[in-house]
Amino acid sequence: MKARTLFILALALTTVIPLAPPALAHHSFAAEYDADKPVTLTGSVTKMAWINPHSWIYINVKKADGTVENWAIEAGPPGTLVRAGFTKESLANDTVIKVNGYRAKDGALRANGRDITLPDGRLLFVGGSSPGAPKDFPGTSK
Amino acid sequence: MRPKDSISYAAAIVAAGLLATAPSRLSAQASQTAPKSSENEECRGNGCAASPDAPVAESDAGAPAKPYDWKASFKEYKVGKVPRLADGHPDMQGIWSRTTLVPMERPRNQDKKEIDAATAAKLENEAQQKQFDLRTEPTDTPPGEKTTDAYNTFWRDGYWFKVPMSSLRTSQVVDPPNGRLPPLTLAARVRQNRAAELDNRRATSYEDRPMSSRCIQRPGTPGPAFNGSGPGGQESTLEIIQGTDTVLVRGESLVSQVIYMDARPRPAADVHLQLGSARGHWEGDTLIVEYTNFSGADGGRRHLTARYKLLDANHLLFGYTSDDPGARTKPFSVEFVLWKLTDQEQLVEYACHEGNVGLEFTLSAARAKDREEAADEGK
Repeated sequence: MKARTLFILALALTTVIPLAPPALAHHSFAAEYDADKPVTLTGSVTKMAWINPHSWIYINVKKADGTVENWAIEAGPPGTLVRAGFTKESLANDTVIKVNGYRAKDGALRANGRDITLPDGRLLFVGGSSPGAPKDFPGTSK
Repeated sequence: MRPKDSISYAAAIVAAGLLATAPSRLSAQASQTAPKSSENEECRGNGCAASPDAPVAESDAGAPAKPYDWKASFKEYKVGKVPRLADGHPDMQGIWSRTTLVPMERPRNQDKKEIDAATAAKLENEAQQKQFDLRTEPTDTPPGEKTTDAYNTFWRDGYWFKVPMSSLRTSQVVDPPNGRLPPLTLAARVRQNRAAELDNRRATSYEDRPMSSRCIQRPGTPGPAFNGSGPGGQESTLEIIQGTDTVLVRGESLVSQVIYMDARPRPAADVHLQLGSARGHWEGDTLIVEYTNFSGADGGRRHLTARYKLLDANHLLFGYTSDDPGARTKPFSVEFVLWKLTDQEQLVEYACHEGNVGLEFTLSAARAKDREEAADEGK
């Protein structure tokens, strides 16, 4: 087989092979959550669980008919939260928050917390300033 | 996946693997469509430094390479005031971040080894803006089956702090000199594609889930070699503790490694360890760690040398040379700068098994899909 033919074959094959997406989480998004079911929930915090590999925030959401649902919202791991400036005081019980996320595929009252803000849109906590991060680009050649 | 698809798929990965290891011109051409660094096994699951996804502007072919000289290469980094322990060795103890915007591999349209500080600052700002944009993208965009890029961006490295260009280098890979990783071996490519196939199909058991989902292993994280992690990563820190006869490198995620400094003998050749057997010594102010006795495919033939050099109180140069005939067709070397988290009192434990409900929920999601499909077929 000529090199050119092989090259065309190489291009064709590498195009059709499904390459893994960068799996940024410790599990894949699509395995648990439904990208076709975005949810926006506003409710009051009932519990913040600092648990690995993901923290969970539980909120009571009042439905239009007056009944209340307790939703579990997946958040980042505790270590990442700490680096982001999140503290134990950041999310006290009864704090009302607004969550944008995607609902679990199995239909449970569970969603990933893609974005969490206070109802007026303000962010929940102030980011870390990454103290120690290089400001002077130490790799610069002498 | 239907049986027929499986056969085509297997044929495709074997053929692609063969092509990836093909020599000369063909290899260079095929590599233009090779996975981006973010899809390489080294950084999967950890967030990757900026990807070299720019269009091709030059050939990989260059002048014959000189052997990698780590001493000469390390000398190119500025060294400031270095804190020391009572025994005179550099004091590297503390919590270090391996987040960096320096790409694992050099972008193909980049022929320089370094960029200037103004460009670096611009890239840092752009990278953080990209994280902001991901969070606020409209939720009604066609999401597709796979994922949304915004998944948990809000919580990750690079949103709440700017991931720095921790050096001005254009790649973490310093050898081969073109800044790009040598191709995967056929066996490694087949393994990688098999893992991707399992990961992407509907889960049938915890056993077909990736090692990371099972809280067993995170490729690319400390233990024993590790790479810089770009925006969107997590578990990106490690702690170094120096004792009299040992140095401990404690990764945030899952593993710690004990480096013995007392010249004790290595295990017998038939002892194979997941993290290898680490023996360290000082060469001047550089800690050199030689690893052998690895487990895994061709683990017995795998050899790794890691190097740590403190540049000043808050910057630590890390490098390694990996000779892993079971994974890459040639040895390669990496260098990047870690930076100290000066406001962290302790490494926050990443006890992955503590509440790993992800496995349960992944399986319950898959069974829910099964039921949906069965109901549709019954209509």
